[in-house]
Amino acid sequence: MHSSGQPDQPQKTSADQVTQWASQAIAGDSAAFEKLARHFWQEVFRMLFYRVSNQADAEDLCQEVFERALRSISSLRSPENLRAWLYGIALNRSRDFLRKRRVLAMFQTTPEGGHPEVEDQGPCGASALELAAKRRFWQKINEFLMGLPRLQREVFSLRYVDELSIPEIAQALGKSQSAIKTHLYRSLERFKKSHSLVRELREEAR
Amino acid sequence: MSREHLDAAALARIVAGDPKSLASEHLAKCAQCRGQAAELKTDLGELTRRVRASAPFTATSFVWPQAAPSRSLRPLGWLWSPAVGAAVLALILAVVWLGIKEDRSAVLSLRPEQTRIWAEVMDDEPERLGGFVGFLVAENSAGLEVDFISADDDEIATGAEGVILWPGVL
Repeated sequence: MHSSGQPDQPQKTSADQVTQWASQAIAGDSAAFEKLARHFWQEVFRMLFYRVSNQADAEDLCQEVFERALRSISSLRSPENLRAWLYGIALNRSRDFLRKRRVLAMFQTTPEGGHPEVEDQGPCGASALELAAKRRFWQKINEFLMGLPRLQREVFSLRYVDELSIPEIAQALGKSQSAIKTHLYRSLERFKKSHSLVRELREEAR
Repeated sequence: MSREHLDAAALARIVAGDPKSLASEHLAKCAQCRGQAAELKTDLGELTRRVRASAPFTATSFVWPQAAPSRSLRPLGWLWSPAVGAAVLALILAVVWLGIKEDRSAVLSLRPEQTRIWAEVMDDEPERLGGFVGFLVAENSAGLEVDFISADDDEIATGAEGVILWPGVL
């Protein structure tokens, strides 16, 4: 067993380089897969964290996502679609995880919800004010996202939280691009009308 | 289009990058709508920025999994999960089916002399008398359960809608 070391910064690697690694990994090159894991690790971790709201859970899930990717990368037909394919795996894993957590929560006496790890998110030395602002921000985001139908919520999150392109979202969710656009337009209309969240964003931006 | 301002749906299409939208023609001429579209873009950019800023960094990295379990221990391993799932489902269905079958045979084996009426039947639904002593079985002559039945006081009634059977010994 060995670790892949510190993750790379995604912006330092070109899309062509990633596609090349993906082609090599598909052909069974484990060193290429390791490079891909380094490249996408932080990104997939963040994506999972936004959904499960817990760092340790997101880290465990991230490992599972890449283990699954390792097992099935030979089935990936287009190496240029690797990012969307990884997000598809991560979405499925996070959905499974949340489903199990909901079932477990039914047997727990303490309520669960919100972003319980907001306190742990801030950098060391973050002031109480910063943490409170962060908590308020996540609360508004959650309120907005929870008010959307499931698919609109996923499309909006993938576009504006995870910054996937429309073709990537379509591939990750297994839907047509026109369907994704429709959901995106509707979620944007709702976003424009979510005055509380928009006000929060503008206040912070000042 | 050029006289009225863009609504939220049209602005959403513009901001999401729909180049074929007719609204883009309007946008080129209308400063107010351009301002609104820019505002929406800025808000979305700020949302992305703040979400990014609040995400933690993980010091973990991919750990290569241990060697896969030996095939000799789990031959055709990919078949195990569906096969076990199907077997469990079949077992559950068999238990449920047997349970239903047993219940129905118990009901059908009741004879009028083994039963007595403990229910005074009102217009719509039976009223229980003498406290709870068992379950009311109501079924019509075809053996199907019915919601509402009618019956006389002193005999098993087999009216148009059904019969009340009340086990004498419970």
